[in-house]
Amino acid sequence: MATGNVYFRLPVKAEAYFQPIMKSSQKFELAFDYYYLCLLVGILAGKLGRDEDVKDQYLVDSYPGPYKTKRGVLAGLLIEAEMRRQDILPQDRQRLQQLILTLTSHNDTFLSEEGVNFLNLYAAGGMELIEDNIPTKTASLPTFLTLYHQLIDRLGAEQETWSTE
Amino acid sequence: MPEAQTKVKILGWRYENIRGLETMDVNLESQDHTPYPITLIMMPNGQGKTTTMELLLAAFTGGAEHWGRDQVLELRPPGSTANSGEFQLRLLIDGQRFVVTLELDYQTGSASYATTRIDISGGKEPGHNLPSSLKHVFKDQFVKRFIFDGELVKDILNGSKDEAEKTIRYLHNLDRLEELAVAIDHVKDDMQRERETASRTDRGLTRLRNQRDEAFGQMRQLQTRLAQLESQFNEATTQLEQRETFLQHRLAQSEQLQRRYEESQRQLETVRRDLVLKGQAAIASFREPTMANRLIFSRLNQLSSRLQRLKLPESTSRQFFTELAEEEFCVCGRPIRSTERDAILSRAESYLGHDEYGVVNAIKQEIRNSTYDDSLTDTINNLTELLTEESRHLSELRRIELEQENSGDDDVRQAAEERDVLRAKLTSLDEKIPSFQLALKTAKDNYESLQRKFNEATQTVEFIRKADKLKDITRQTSAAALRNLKATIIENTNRRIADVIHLEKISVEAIDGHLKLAGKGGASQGQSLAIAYSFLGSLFANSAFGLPFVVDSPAGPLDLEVRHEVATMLPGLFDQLILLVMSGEREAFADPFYQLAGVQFLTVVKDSSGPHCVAEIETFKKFQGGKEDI
Repeated sequence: MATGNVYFRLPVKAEAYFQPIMKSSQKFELAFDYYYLCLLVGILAGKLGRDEDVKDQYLVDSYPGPYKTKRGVLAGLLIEAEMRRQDILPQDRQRLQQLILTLTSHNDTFLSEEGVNFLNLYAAGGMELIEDNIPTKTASLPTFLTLYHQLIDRLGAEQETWSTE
Repeated sequence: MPEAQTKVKILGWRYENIRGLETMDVNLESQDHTPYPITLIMMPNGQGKTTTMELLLAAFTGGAEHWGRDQVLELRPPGSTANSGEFQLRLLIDGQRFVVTLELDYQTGSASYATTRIDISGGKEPGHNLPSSLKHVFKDQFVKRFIFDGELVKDILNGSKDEAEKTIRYLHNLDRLEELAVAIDHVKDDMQRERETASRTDRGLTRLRNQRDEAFGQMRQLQTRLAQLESQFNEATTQLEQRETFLQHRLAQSEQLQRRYEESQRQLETVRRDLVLKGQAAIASFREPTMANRLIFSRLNQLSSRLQRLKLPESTSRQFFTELAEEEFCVCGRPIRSTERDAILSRAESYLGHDEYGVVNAIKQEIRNSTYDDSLTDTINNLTELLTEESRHLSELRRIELEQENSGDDDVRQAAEERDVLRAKLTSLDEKIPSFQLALKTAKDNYESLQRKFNEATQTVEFIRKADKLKDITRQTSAAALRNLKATIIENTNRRIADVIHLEKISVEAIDGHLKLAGKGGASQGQSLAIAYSFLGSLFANSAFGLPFVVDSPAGPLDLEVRHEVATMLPGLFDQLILLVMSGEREAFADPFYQLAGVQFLTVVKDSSGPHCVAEIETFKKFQGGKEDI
């Protein structure tokens, strides 16, 4: 299976934001961990960043260790988020099939170049949400994780209310 | 000890017409060609100690040929009419005798060398002709590590200095790898200049070079500023550690407070250990996207059902249509002409191929296998509780510190105030440094990109690539060698420390510019010096050279009570030890040497016939150096 030209790129602001944690004794094991946390928030809130919010230099060109087995779920999350963003109706089989063709590819990540570009933009969108909602950069990983959990819980609740209104 | 160690011993030296020392011989031999393992030379300050160190250094390095007129004439005895002077150093190198003569011409103000290889050629030859294996390593910075100023020993443990690391680099010649990297840069520059000259008319090239140089300047400015900030940070960290050690020491004197403090600290450590474990558990849960949030889980399940309902992926794949387009007739029996063929091929694109079919099925399968439960919320709740506990313990520790400060004396209050100022300074630097690191990274990227463009323009890309690779290999080799050396040296240093410091367990944890001691306990002044000399002794034992160790004022910076401690340990560390001491240093320091066998005591005495060297222990014991010695 080919690796394909997929390049995961951090949001521009991510390194500075997470630097205090990365300098502390208890830090993220992987820089991809905070990329992923940004991504999760961006996808949950359906918030895309702009091209200039994404770093030129890439972080990795495939999923690192613990994320390799999550490639299907992460590709599914992207398809689902894009369906919502592009207002693809549940019964619109053709547009959904076209979307899948655009975003996925037969490689290590299950993502096409375009698919991973969208992932990078969602991560950049997520970074902004994190910065807005957890503005004080903390050097304590446990503190960040509790605040992050509050944020993702709140965003989830807001999204549910919004979709049922 | 390395097998092929080149052994160098000093057999003695002789001054002729040298300021403060006139004409005098210093003999270190106990019997023919065998020097005493230890010689203490009492030499009053102002009477040639500094001059001796300077001449010894010059005799080893051959550097006096570059001396200026003033430097040479300064060595002429005041009022002397002598036209020349000399300094002869007698050496034993791997069993063969060498005499290096530094000849000083007081008429022209110049210095030159002559070398006598007694056991090889016998005669005196012009030039500084030590064996080639030594000549290229006996550089100034290298020799200064064994012709040693006792005052420098303090720098080995000083957090704001990098003397320990420098010493390793010089004594193990790692600096020569750095020199190689610089030489590679020079070759690169020469090559580019040559190409640039060949296309001098190209204005674009000049513009590129200017932009690159400007970017380089910016990068260097940021590097300097960052280095300053990091140095301030290291200095403040060391100072903070000192204040905290002092305050903890004072706290220990108040037993009840100390017990409370230790109990709180113990609990804090337990909480922090739990925080690490729970933090890891939380990250492991977050890494499961569907465990991170219930909505994510339900949305994915909706997607999976939707794909199921819409029968996606479709069992008819793109390959079916591409193969059909190649047939003459359709499955319905109608002929396929070019119009139909084009239409089939174009629409085939909107069907999933075999590969995509597999991908979508795998996505559906992974979604079906994913789960959601409340375990992450539970873990986060645990984390929150632990953070509250951590904060409670920290407050308790601060409260105890405050109680101690309020009940303590002025010293404690002052140390506490300084500690708070240092903590604030460190926080501020800690915030400032990352932004400089980022700015530097950007400036470096910019410089490298311009350098790449410049390389392309001067058509030296391939050459530069190879040169940079060679430089990388050089740097990596240097870093790996330093890492391995540090590990060995730390082990040997700690073994030696254990031999000389019996009452407390003190060890070197790391060499990070300076020697870092394990724990925050710190060491007394005497212990610090013992540690520093243990380090130097280990370095010498592991070096490719067995060298003499000449120290000027070894006990100079020490209080009386710690001189004895250092004097007891020094003999075991070096094969040949030469100590230049003043009479003021003798008290407490010299006693342990009087008990040892194989120690020579020399005293430079000045009488009506001029200075001469007396080899009697009694003269050494009684000698008073006069007012310049205070």
